[in-house]
Amino acid sequence: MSPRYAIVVRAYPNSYRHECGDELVETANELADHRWSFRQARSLAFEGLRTRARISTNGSPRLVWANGIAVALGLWYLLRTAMPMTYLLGATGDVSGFSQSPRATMGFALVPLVGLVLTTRWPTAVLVTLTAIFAAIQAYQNDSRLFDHDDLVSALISQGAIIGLAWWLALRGQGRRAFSPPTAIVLLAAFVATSYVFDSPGVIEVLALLYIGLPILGLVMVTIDPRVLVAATTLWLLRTIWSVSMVLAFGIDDLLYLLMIAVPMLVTGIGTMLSRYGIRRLTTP
Amino acid sequence: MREPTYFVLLTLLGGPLHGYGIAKRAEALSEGRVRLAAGTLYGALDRLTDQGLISVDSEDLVNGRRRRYYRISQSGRQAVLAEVERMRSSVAVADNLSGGQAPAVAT
Repeated sequence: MSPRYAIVVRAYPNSYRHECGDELVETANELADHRWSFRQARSLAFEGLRTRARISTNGSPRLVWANGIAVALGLWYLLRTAMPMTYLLGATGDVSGFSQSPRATMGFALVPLVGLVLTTRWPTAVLVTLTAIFAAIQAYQNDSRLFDHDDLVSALISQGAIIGLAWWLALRGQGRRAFSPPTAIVLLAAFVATSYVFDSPGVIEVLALLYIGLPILGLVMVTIDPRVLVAATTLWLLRTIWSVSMVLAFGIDDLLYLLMIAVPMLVTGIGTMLSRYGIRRLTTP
Repeated sequence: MREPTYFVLLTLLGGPLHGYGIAKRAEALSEGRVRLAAGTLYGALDRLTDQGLISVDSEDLVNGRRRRYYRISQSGRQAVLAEVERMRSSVAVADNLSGGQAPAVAT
């Protein structure tokens, strides 16, 4: 392969590059009169990422939605479990905010996660669902920090993420192979996880990165890989539901509570519209 | 249908072409307005192939590199002609509204 566009052509999936890489580079060379062209390089890089998204979702709008939603559910679960995880790993000695038994809480949280990794069939999905519900009730009874507040609705919503992910994987029937999130989100999740463990940067910055950074990343990538914006939108939708459950539990006595619902709703609405636009761009010629 | 896609299909009405040929012919037909870069071109070709509007006609080797020729399918021909008809009726509307003062377009 000509070295001129060898790096940018790596944006394409391996199988696609092996089959068509030489032809792509040769055409780019010819169109640029055998000179380096930023326009050609940019086109190959962006279309390579777009091809990744298209191939891993078979170009189906339904699977773009499903893939993005699954990623958001995973991130949400990560956020819910990160705090007790840092305690168990010994990264923090501060247990003031935790339940009577963070170890037990974490155990209940991890069981569905292990089940999720193994989920490819309906019986496993049912088992994950039952365990997740039991974990939510258990955490509620123990006043667990895992779900931020001693509110059963909030706990169930948090565990709903793991339940939704399990059922989606079971419906797909292909297990882990079907779960191919955008690379950008995998890196972001890894960053969030390590940030929690090492507390660098702090938890607040990490949350801001997720809730503000992810929609911005999604907007930038909307015509390249709309799954990122779908994930960001779903995360804000979960945030909306969680805020509603908080308000229902504690009542509305402050403008802040209304903002807690209005802002996530607004982001969710705009994100949904733009996601639909991005998916249409990805799947239509 | 986006403009690059429209011109890709139009170029293939004249017979099978390879990627570079499609890009150069689209540029000529559009009088330089549509300049397809390699990534955009093959992205459009892949999506059109997935939708059955075009297909790979043949392959040959040039300097040891594979080169695919694409041809338009019957449904692709219908799609591009439907787009032409849609644009023609849009021009007719503009003509009516402007009393025949709308600028002439090449068809």
